[in-house]
Amino acid sequence: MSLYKKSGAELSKMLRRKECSSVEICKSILQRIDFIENKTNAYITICNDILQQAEKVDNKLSAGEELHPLAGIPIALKDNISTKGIRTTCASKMLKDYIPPYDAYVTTKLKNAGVIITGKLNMDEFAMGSSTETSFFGKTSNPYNKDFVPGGSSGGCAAAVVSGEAIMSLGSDTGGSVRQPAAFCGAVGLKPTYGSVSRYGLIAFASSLDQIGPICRDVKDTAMLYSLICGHDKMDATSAFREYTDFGSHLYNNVHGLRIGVPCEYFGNEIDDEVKESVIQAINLFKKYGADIKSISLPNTKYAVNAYYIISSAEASSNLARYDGVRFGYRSEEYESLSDMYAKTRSKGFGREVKYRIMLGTFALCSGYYDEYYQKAINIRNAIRNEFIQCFTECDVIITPTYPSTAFRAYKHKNNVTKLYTNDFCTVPASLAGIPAISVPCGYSSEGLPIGMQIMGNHFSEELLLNTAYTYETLSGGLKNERI
Amino acid sequence: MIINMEHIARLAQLEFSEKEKEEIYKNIENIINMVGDLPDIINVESLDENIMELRPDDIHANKFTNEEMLSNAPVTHNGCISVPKTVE
Repeated sequence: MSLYKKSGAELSKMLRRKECSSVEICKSILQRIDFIENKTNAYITICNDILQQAEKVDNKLSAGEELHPLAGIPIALKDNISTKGIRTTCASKMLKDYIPPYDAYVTTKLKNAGVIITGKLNMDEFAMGSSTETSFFGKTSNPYNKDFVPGGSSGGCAAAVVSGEAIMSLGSDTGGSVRQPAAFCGAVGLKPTYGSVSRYGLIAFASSLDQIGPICRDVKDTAMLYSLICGHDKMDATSAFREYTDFGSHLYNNVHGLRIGVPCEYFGNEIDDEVKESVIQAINLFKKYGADIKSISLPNTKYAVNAYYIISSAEASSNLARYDGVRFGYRSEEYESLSDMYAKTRSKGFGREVKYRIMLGTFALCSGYYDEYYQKAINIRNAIRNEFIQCFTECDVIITPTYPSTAFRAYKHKNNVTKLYTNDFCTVPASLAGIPAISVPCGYSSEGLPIGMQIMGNHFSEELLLNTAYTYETLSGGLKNERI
Repeated sequence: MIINMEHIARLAQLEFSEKEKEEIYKNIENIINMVGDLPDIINVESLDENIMELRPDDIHANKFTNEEMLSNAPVTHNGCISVPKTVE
């Protein structure tokens, strides 16, 4: 079997048994990129020193150095994660030539572990979107069918790992941007608890929601990569003070007595029948193996999308105020005065979706509308979080679909922006509450597209989520990845 | 509700051509109408747990050179960032 098809965990073992070298793994990945990248368009930038990075790791391994389990494994990053000396564009014209002078916290972690960074992956511009169609660098295609979207905003991550162009990837999730593309492409995507992974060097979209999370081909790889990136960092004021276990080496296969909550609000008419059936089948499998299934209700779910779009856009309008053409990024070629330069730079540098969000956010924070929009949204956010915490007194995890449908055709929602927003209702509640959630593949639609199941847990319950997901993967035999 | 889009655009430092205004403003209005459907939930327990621990404002030696800091600036002049003249 070609090396690019193997999981990170398998390759890690092979490297240590000297059954292959990191250079060989990377050559296999590079050949795969050569073969398929023109179909997927998953990458914005491919690093030109991949083999040199790999050679360094091989030398250390041959010298008998003790290295991190992920040393020598090729991993790609979403293009909003800063990489020193490698352009980081956020898929925007605004940052198309921006080269960060520093590494993000997670980038430093990967580099210190000896991970091979293969490149920067495509995304929706500034992570605003759920289809990877709004990228300045063109859309990414779904590895299962090129006419369908890979989801978003971390669409490049899901497409790259599933098509074999990287072994693992790191994306970011503000309202579902790791989980939904994982669901659309048949990958596993974890949005960790808010505060467990430092955002230092992650280009900000909505700071009270943004989290970095892994997108991998299976649960074990997801656990290994999450273990590497979590932890306290003084450079992110929201970073939690905690000790974390090594999630990758503690996975167990048991759901006996696990209390699973199934909220009726996530199984209504908005959910496609095929998606609903697949998720219910998965829940039945858990039941068969001893899980205790409980019907629950989370009534405030119906307000989550509206609250999410107000809060995230308000924060985005403020975070994106820095793009003014002065210190870094694009500057308009023509302008008459300083204020004219600001407006022209921003109007030409941002794409349409980003402008919608900035306008909505500016509006929601405007004097006269603040109480009616922003404050109400904050109250709802608190109510949603309290509702979840209350629920977790009766159940250990909550299972829902990750998205109401499978991947949709490219440009399907081009003229209906609000429809795309409302479809985020399965993923945004966990984001608003700050709780962790993982998307695991749980079947295929009749069109042959993957379906994702979302497992949510209480704050810092990643271990339980990963084990529940791992158990499902083991019991169901996992989604046979036919794309690689 | 009538929203003064020109005012919002001015605050956001964005400008739209006459041609695109109609469609863009209409879409933004649709979005605002959608998200505005929110109940007034009061007496919700606040989440202000104050879990953030802020680091002290220590002064660190600058780890970047002037050159590095200016390398991403669109226009520089004599080691400074250059902007259009603001005072006559």
